[in-house]
Amino acid sequence: MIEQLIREKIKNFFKEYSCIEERENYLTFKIGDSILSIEILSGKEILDRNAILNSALKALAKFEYSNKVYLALPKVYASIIDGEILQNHGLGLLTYDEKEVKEVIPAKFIKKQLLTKENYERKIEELKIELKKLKENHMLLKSTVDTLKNEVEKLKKGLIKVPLIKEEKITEVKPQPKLEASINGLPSFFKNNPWLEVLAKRGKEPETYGS
Amino acid sequence: MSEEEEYKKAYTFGADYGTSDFKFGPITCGEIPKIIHNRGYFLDKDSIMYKAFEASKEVVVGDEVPLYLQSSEDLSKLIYPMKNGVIKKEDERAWRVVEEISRYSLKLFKPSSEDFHGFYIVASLSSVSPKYMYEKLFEIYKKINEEEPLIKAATIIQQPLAVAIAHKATTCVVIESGHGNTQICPISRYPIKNAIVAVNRGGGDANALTGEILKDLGYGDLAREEAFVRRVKENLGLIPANLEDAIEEAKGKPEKFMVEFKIPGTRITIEMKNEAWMRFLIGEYVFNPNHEVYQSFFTRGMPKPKDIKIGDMIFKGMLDFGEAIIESIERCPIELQPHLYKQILLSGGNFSWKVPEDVEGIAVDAATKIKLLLKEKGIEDVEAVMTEFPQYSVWRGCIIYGYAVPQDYEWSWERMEGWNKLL
Repeated sequence: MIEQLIREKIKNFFKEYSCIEERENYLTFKIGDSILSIEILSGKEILDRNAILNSALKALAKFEYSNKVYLALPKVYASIIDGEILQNHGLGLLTYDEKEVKEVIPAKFIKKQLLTKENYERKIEELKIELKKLKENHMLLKSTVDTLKNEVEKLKKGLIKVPLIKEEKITEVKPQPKLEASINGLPSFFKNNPWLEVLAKRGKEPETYGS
Repeated sequence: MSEEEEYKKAYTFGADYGTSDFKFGPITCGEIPKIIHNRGYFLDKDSIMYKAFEASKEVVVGDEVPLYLQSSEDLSKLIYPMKNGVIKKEDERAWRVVEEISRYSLKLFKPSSEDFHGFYIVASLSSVSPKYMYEKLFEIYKKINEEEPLIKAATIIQQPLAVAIAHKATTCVVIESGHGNTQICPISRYPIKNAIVAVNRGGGDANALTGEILKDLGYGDLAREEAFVRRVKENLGLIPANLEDAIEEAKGKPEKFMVEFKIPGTRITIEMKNEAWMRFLIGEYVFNPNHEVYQSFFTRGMPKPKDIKIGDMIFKGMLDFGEAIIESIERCPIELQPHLYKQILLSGGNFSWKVPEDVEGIAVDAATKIKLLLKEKGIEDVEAVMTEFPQYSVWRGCIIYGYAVPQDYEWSWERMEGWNKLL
């Protein structure tokens, strides 16, 4: 019950943040893209001499997915903590009693692009596409190498005499100025369709390749 | 905008007579046409249903058909007229379905506006449809118009041309592969008619092979149901980059290719374990059935795709797709050939194959397979792509064609194009 009250007080202290996860010993808040985590040490646990150290280590671990991390201690025990050590590690310190929650040391904001599940999935999809492209290229290259190997083998054996091939000269067709086809009110597949111009000339020009 | 453009903007009509679906509608449909099965159900005139509904028509088409089906026996009265893209001249029932389906489509979109004086209808037929099919279709349109003036002018174009128009490609090769056959049609602003190559092999042949494989796996009783076999083919079949390499890989590491397929809604599960290498036989067969591995299936009675004559066209059975493309393109002017290889459009359901992520490279998609087949034969610099929106592209091509071709260009039987004015 007491723990519940402490958590409520802390939630109230950070009321501009939205609480996204609540457990007995910690709270996680979100504001914008930033994540704020708070490790709470209750008065009950503090009887254990390693409890503060344990909580501080747990708090530090939260930097993996948080931009700001606080350690929350009962007010009476705050005096035994060396604030400088917490500051050096970027940890903030909150103290609480039955009346209020106080921010003794502000937490340092650690800039980082937190990878959410969606980010991971997107990244995996991108990598899959990249891998697919690589596989396709690899396959085409393998086939090219195989062809080349065969050609080299054949050449080596003197089985192929390379004929002199006169290259066919391709006549360059200069682009004609395009007739602007109005697509007002027409379906999207009319847009930039070169056939509109070609078909508009049907019956007015000699057939080239069709017969 | 001219008066003609203004009129056509409202009353151009596309009608794609596909093998299994009929896609139709006016330009005002926007991006997507209305789609119904290209089929008709012949009512039994002595039946209670016929008498009860006092139906004056003998053929039912469109969305109403399922309402008339009572048992699986009725399926024999269902006629799909465009099977293989060609209707025999004397096949009266098939022509009755085409007539009814055409009438149904025009009436469905008949505008009430006073300025409507008939549609500019652009019909699309398979590239292997003989001339008499064009004559028959025009006769049907004339007959419909005598009952009610719905068509101002009609024209008929080949489906590959419509695909090329919809894909904004003025120089390309369209390969249409359906259930029964495959057609390769080069286009350079016009379909190059004497370069069309037809192959008597399609999705149906891959189904037949899948059936034989299922028998070998011990599912002989299920292999008789074509719909089931087709699902197995679609879910288990793979196209190999190279058949021999793929078989070797799959025999060496069968665990990588093992598969289980449960037919949805049934208790049937097909398992391929050590025989998983056979998955590659299915895909390869579509593209090239000449490998010696298929010989054992032919010896055991599986029909070999034969050379046949449909209309004026010889359909070769065993020609591999790479060879067929080269044969088609080499009938075109030399200077055009490199440009054709650079834009190959693959259209039709027979090119939709899955490539599971973990076997990519060994299994490939249809476009890559075409590139590899051509590369084997020394053709480099090939670009092959699957068509976008395969279901609608022919209809879209028809709409653009109808809108753009001038109304004063009269139908010519020599050129097989122009407007046949019916009003």
